[in-house]
Amino acid sequence: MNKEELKKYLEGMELEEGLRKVLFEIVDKAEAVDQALMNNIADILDLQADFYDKSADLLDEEAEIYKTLAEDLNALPESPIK
Amino acid sequence: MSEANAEVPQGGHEVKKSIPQEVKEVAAKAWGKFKESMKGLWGKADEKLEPVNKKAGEISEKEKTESVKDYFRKHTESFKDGIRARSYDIYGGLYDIGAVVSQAKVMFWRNFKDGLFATYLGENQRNVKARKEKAKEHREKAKNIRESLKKSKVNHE
Repeated sequence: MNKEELKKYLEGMELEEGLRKVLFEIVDKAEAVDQALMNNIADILDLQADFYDKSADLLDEEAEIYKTLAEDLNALPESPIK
Repeated sequence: MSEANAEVPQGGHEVKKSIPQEVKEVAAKAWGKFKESMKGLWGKADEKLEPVNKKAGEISEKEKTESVKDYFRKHTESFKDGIRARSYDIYGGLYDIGAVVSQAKVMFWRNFKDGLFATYLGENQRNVKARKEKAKEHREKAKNIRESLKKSKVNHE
């Protein structure tokens, strides 16, 4: 596999544009298409997966905060004016 | 989150008198708790995403390019901005009730909060699901690219 073939392979992955650019830059800078380059690209893809997993966990925590707030606001009276 | 520390709005004294203290206390307490929780989440986002950014920095250094580090840093900031943006209107509404308060505001929160939160939580759940799916897809892609050279050699043989 040469660099152009590798780029086509990456194109086929339908990655986010920003990520695709980052990977293309790494391919262009590489001396050869070897296992080390493949591992570096894979490490970045795994890192993107880590980001999605961790941000999903944070969104779960955000949801809990909103649920607590909704429960707390149930204590507001239906007619606040006495 | 400077909005959370905004000055007490001026005016509305006549309305203020007509709102029972306990109503203001409920709102102020809910607002205080929400504000602290969101600040906590904000800090946690940095803490939780730091290992990703650290690893991105290491790859950047190894590859002699800033783009890996910049890409993940940009994603982190954008994610944090999303959390902050979602909380802004709630900060404002609850702060008004706790500080000056108007009947309309209290009624708004009493009557419309469920709909508002349902929208927020619905969007949140869709977002969580999409991120988990994307994570899975990227791990699969990473696995494939690690093996692609071996497969390519096999095909040539």
